[in-house]
Amino acid sequence: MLVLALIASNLYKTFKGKVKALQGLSLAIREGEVYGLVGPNGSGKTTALRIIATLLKPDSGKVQIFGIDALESPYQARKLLSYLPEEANVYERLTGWENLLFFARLFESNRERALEMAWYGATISGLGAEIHRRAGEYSKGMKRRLLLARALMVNPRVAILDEPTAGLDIFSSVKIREMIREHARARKTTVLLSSHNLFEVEKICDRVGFIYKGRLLEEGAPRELIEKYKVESLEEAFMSAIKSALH
Amino acid sequence: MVWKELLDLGRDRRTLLSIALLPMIMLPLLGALTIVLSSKQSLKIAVVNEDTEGGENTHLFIKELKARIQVYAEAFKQNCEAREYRDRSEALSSPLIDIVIVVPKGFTKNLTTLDRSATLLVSKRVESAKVQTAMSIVASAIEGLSREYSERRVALLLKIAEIEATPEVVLSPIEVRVEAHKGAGLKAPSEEEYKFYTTRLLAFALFFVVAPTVTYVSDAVMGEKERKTIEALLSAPIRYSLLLGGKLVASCIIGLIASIADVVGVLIYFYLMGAYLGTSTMVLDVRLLAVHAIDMAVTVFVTSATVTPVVIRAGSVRAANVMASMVVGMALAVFFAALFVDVEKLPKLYFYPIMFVPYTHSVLVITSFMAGNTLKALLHMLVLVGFGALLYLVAFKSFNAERLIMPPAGGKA
Repeated sequence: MLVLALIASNLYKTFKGKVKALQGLSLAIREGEVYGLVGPNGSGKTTALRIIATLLKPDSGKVQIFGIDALESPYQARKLLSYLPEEANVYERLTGWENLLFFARLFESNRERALEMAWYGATISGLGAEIHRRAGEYSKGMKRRLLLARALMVNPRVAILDEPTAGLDIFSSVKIREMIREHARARKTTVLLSSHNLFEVEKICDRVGFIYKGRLLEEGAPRELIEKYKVESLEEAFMSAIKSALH
Repeated sequence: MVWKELLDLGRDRRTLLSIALLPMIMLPLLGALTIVLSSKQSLKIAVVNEDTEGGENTHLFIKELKARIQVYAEAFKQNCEAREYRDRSEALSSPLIDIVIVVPKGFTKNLTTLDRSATLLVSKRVESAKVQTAMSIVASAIEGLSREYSERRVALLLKIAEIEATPEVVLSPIEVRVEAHKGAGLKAPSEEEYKFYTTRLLAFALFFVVAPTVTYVSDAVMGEKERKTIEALLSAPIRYSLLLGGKLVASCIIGLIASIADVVGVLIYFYLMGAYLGTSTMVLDVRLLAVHAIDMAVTVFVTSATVTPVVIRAGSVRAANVMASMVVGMALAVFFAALFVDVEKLPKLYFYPIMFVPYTHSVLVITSFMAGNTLKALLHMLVLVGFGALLYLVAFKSFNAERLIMPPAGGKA
């Protein structure tokens, strides 16, 4: 049976009465799906993700996470999701392990289960013995792996990842993509991620949504979109979709 | 939250050093430096003899004046040099001389009569940093000499009038005997006065509790934003009341450590100054210290709760510190006033409004306890706790995740 993990309906958000970040965005993501939200800077990706993560309230619209109204019951919704912001940072004076343990304790009140969670996070981060070094000494790639592990270790029903590989080198990006894919498959986690990197999106996403000026222009499986627009790549499909929208 | 905050601080050695050690060292060091520099700066007093007709008598008077000045300078623990100058203008124009005493023409003649007073002209250099100290020494020396000459005149008059009495009885017809009392008219030993002086100092020292607390609360909230750790934290399934509460508790613990260090530094400073001046007026009482410690802890909590809603509305740590400094200003006004004012004796027009300032109750806890009114001290403590709880509620109600994660005006959405 097809279960909808996340439904965002008609989201509108304007900042300071001037900046229209979202203009009627709607999404429906199936359980276990990896969904990529793609768009240029300022298209509303981060705003959409923040609203779904219950950090912002939309001016109008609804968000449901496994049937829970995220706007009415944000605390209940947060129990089902985890969020990795684009510009997230680690607690630099804490070790990688302590960073994981702290968040595990936020998600799990039972000490033993929290410890298990942190161990899992340490494992999937792939940081090995470095996990016991201060996180402030990590490279950018290592920090991002730690943060992603932190987001995934809590076993969320929905993982929201904003630009998970932004600013990373090839090796780190590959590692991150592997972590996302493996975790989504192994634990049936629904993943909503945003990205500029269409190559990466094509590789790991089951479906993609093109967002432009706060609206969803197009969505579908990467292959389907490429075939629909009769182009060679998802990037070209995206450009074609925008051209169609402008005309 | 508390575990994370304290673990983080424990690894920040520089901050720990600045909050725990520096205040304990810096303030006493400041005091010691003040004492050393103050004692090294020599006071210079010029005595100009214009009473050439006075002859040897004037010379003797000036010699006696200079000797008295030295005696009082030693009592004030000051280096002092009193020299004779021939020329008034030379003495007045020298930038090194703090006070010029002119013995004018006819001085000695007037001094040695019974029916005239002899005037000394004293000119003080206004730009001198120590002119007030110099003036006190000179005034004491002249007062001493004047008294001596008065006694001589009176002794002579008593002899002429054949009255059997001492000059002191004539010159000081009213004797004053001072006693101390407290509370409901109970006699108080002299050291009780020092205890109350210590009480006022401790009340003032509460100010040093407020300043570091404000800094840590600003960093605890806005620091997470600037270090880009706030979003992930806010999206975790933690009730914002607990998140805020955890940060408040951690800020209180950190603020308390800083406060204790500051207060110890202040007390050492005052003790050193008192010891140097020979007026050690501080008396530390274990119960008073215990009450002060509890008062300090609650004041830290109230400060954290007061500053939090202010900080949440600021866009950055810098702005948060500036806005929170208003709280510091309010605290300073109350604690400084506590040095000089008995709050409870103020007219109702001033008393009632000031009772709405939480810090007034911080002061009243200590002063009530010292006055022997433990119940009243407890009541003020409860009012302070009540203020803290109310302000925490305001802080929680004004907690807005969107405001915290969005950039300040002009930034990217």
